[in-house]
Amino acid sequence: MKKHIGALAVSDTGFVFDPHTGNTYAVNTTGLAVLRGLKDGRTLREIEDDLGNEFEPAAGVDDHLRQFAQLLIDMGLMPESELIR
Amino acid sequence: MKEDVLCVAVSGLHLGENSQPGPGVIRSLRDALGNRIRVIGLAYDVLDSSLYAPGLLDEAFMLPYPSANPDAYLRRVLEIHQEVGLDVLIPCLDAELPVLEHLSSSLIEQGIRCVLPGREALARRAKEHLPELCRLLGVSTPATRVVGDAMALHRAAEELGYPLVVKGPLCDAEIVHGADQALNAFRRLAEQWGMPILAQRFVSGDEYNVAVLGDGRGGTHGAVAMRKTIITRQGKAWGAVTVRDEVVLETAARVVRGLRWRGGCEVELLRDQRGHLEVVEVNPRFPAWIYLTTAAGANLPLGLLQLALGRKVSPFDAYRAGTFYVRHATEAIGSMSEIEGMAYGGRRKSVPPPALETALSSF
Repeated sequence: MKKHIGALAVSDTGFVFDPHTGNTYAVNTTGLAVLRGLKDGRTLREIEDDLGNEFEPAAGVDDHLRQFAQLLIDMGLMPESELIR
Repeated sequence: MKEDVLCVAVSGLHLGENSQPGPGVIRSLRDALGNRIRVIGLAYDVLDSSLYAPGLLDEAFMLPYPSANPDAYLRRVLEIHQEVGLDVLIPCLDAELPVLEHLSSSLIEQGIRCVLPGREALARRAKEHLPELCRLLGVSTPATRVVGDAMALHRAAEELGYPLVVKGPLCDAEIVHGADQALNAFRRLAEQWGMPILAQRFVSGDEYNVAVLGDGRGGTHGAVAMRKTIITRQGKAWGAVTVRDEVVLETAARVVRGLRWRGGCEVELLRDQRGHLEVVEVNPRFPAWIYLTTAAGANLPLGLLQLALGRKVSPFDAYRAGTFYVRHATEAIGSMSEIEGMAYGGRRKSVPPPALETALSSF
């Protein structure tokens, strides 16, 4: 299936619409920041740094970020190659 | 044509468990043309729900079933034409199309325009011929067997396995899980719709439908894809959302190109868990959900009307993905005298709002 994270419509409230499948999702503030980063073509490492600047420091951010990215891959929204970029 | 008001007859007026396209076509035309259109409902049953729904029809007439007696059907259409002066007839039921194709020259002679697919195209997309069409076009379709009797049904079930989809020749289908259920479905469908009955391999996955307006030369004036989000037990889309899936749209376009389809149609597709796309049906008219195309910015029924009138069809290059509908069932109210009027007089004037005056006077 086509990976199309760039095509996702993401609103300021965290409502996400996939025009390819018609599916809708809701993400929290952190998820919204991650999705926007990915749509902008940033790597997971860069997004992790962005999160560090934007939010309170928290333990295990890199793990959570990878889990979220894996979820996007499992849902067919992102190619696996994003994980190793 | 009289003044600037177009007189358009539309059939397929029932909204129910198995909804018909007429009301969606009418809403689309009224959205675009307002009071520049006069809509004549063509009904086959006094309980066709749109007859009693305010705001849809200016007038309605009863007709005999076209396949039962084409001559009587033509006579009735011409009687109605005498009364109201039809400019265009938009058939919205599968069973009307072969008969209208046969009668089209008589209708044109009388000034009634109609957009119809060619006879060959109509036959090639029929359910029993769909596997051959798909093979020629290089698109996938679930394995299908024509079953003429209980023995053939049994053989098809052995080959294709359960669950199995048992389908009527024009419409209606049942997903069955065993031999007894299959036989019951076979008998019911044969009795209700006639032969041939089809047995089709069941495919589980996301259901996509594409409404298309074909130009008759292999191209399309417009196409809108949706994914079903709420599905009834009969497999009908009670809710759906428009999507922009290029593979779905291209597959539908390939079917329309292969058929050189003229007019409205609907291509039904299924995408299985592995992402493999299969064409399940090609319906020879707009679907019941056609108003969704209008809401998404592509008024395909208006394009069909323009095509019928020989006018340039407005381009429908883009539509909005993310437009959704949830079907909203409500009660259309009538009185026995209204049913009597349709049953004996075969005609009904514009539908007033529900009987508010009566309700107030008895308050």
